[in-house]
Amino acid sequence: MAAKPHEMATRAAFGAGVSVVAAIIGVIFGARVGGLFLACPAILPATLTLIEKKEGKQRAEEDEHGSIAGALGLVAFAAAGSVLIHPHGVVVALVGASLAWLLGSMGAYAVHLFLHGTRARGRLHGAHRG
Amino acid sequence: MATVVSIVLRAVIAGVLVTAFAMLGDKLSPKKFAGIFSGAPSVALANLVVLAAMKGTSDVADSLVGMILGAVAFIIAACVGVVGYQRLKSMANSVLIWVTWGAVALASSLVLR
Repeated sequence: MAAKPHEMATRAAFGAGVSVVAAIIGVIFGARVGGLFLACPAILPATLTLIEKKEGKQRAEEDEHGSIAGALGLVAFAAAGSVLIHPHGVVVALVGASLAWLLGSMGAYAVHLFLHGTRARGRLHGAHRG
Repeated sequence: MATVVSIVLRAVIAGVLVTAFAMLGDKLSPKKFAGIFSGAPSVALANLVVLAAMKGTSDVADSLVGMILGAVAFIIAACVGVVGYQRLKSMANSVLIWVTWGAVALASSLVLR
């Protein structure tokens, strides 16, 4: 189900707001502390609230599970960027970091699916035995 | 003046990227997979690009170090959110996610300073 314009605006406002907070904190306390806010769960709460309202609690809970994979991807993003920036410069670091985010998130999602499938098969076998 | 321009630019670019990732997430299925895009680095990309253009490599490198700890806080907050979903409504759970992230990030900021 596609989001309505005002719902998109809500998410954009969350993202812009967190970005402003990160920038101001970076100016006051330094780039390292400001950097913490670059991995702030900016749109997650707004997204979950909208999904629950429109598609129910089950769907929102599924999205929440997926966000853990996304967060693992953020660690991959920041770590790859940190490793690449000094030898290769900002452009290579940000492109590499984005690829690391994509691969990290997809990898975490694939592991989640594998584990979930294994548990589901285990429950099925248990049910047959019972 | 440059600081104000930098903050406004970051907000505008972050808003655009967040919307783009959210639209992509809305189109994808299943929702568990789409949830990956709730953790997309939209705010990070917006800030790092502007920071690189206006301040240089050193500030970007420092920001990325802080971001690693922020992302670890995100993982902890998302895990707490999964548990919270079984007991709370989404609005209360959203507050729990933010508070958890804030507490871990605050503790991390003491280490970084």
